[in-house]
Amino acid sequence: MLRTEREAPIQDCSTAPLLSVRDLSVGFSSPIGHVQALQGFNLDLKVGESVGIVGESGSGKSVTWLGLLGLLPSARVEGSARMNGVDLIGLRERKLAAWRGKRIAMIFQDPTSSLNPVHRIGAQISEGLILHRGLSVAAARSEAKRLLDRVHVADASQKLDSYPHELSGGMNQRVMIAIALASGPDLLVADEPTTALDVTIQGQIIELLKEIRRDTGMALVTISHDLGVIAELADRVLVMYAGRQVEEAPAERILKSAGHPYTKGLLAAVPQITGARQRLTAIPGQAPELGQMPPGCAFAPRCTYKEQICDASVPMSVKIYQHPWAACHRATVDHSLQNLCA
Amino acid sequence: MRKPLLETRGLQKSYDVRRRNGVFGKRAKLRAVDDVSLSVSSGETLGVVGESGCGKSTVAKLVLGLIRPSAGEVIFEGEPLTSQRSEIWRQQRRRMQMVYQDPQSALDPRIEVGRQVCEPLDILRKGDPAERKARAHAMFQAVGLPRTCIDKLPQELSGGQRQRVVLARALVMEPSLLVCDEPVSALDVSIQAQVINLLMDIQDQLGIGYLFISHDLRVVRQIAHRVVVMYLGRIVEEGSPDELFRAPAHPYTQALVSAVPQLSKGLGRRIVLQGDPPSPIEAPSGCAFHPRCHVASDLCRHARPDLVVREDGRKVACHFPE
Repeated sequence: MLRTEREAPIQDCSTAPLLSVRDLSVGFSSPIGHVQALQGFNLDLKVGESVGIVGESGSGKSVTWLGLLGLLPSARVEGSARMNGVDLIGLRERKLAAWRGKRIAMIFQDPTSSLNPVHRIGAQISEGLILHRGLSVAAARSEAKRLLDRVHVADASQKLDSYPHELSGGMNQRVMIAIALASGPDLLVADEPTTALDVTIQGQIIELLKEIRRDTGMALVTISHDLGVIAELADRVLVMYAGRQVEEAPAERILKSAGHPYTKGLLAAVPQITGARQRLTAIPGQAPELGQMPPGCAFAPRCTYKEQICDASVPMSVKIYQHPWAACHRATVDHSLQNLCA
Repeated sequence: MRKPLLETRGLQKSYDVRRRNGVFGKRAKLRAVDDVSLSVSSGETLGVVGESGCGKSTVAKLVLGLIRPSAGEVIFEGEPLTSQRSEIWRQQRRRMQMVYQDPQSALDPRIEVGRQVCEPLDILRKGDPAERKARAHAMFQAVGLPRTCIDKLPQELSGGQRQRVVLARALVMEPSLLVCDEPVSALDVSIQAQVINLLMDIQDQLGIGYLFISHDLRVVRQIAHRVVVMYLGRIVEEGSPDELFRAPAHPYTQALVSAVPQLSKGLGRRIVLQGDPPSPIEAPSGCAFHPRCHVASDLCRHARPDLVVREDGRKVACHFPE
């Protein structure tokens, strides 16, 4: 598909990035010593852009955002993440709290455990409104009702007095989205927003997120292990493996011709709902443990295109044919990687 | 036609519950499974799909005899499944094994996985200890686990390896039926593909019948020979996976298929169902799907459609199938 055929961007994306992350790393101390959960993460997120981050458990996709927002108190977070000229990394907790929830909101996989079970829905939505927007209790309540209407919760005024356990999972995720929208954030980080939901409810939430993005022009970062969800929501896809970014590409191109062997493997491993049924091409082996990273490319032990150089050093991100970049030695050594992976 | 390995006839399970207000609420019947008839042959995989609360896991429990049906019967290897704890049931249960979603909680965290695979053989005193050990080792090999794993504890293995251990433990009994309830849902995509391939290989080699329950339509399409779609305790559609997912006849199946996230954009429009599935306590009149259905008419509100066989072999329970 040509670039011109894509949906027109919501806002002018040529301006300065909304969020600029440079060399972000997150480390933990563990019984086996210091382990690095994320290394060298870079991202320029434009205003109103939708980026998808895909990867398996332990790839660092969630830790990136939890670390960036100061939600990992025991972790060592290094690097920089600038938004409006302010570096969020190393910001004091009180100052960071003003950013969190106000400019950057985050929703998680399991809405029912993200909500407080002993407080009514209305009070939980109002909390952010009173805190971040300084509304009175009465004004916050009517705004909370408007927000519930916004995320298409039926009987909003009645639901304000419900407790989370009285609502279904899909309904609670809508409440979480309403809370996230309360302060009119510039960026919403959705961490596996549909994973815990049923298929038809998952479809509802995907449509809702698309609609809200279209209407508000906020930027969206979707974290998911499901390439299908990413393909529906994102313009640009980042692929992560073992704590590093391995590839970036526009959504429709990464799905047609993946550049990195890992991305290629991921795509081949997903069964399809249409077309001929054929045996799945599984990626052999498993992702490395955090404390036992291979010396070179972390994917090398599982890679079918592996060469000697792959064990020698961690590959740099290089621009490859048709893609913004991929971190693969074969891309530098062998200029015909695009043919290899076509 | 060959005699099916497993057959259920008009299976029904209802629970007495109280509507709201705790013990003072009105009594009500919760129909978890209602009039479910299905069959699985040797070497065949029957996929069961549906959303939470549709009764698919209850069907699994009924098939295994872990709970008693309120009505209907389960026939396994030509014999009706007898009541629990009887000697015949114990004999039957050996031939039907199960694999659940979360391998972590299916394994004992304090026992080496090799011993856990051996345990069913120890309990039944099959062969001498050396023979049992040899069989367990052979099973490890069959499910693609390295020998070094045998003396490890479950937490020392990865999620995919743990699910392989669970599978080895089920297979060591040489079952003829394997009931898999969301066996790959907790696994990463690349590992999920490994386990799906493994399940298919094992079936090819051993001719085991699978009752494969999953909410993931893509996984079911990959592995199943036949698919049953359930909604609120009843079967609404049954057919071959290729045909059923290519041209779903029931409006609910249509919505399910269209809701699956697609890798390539713009493949058909999504039918967004309004609201959540209704509670099985207050199941709607007539066709249970009518409040969310886009083709529902007056007839659907009053009369419940029967599951009828079409000319092409597809079974559909809908007044206005496509």
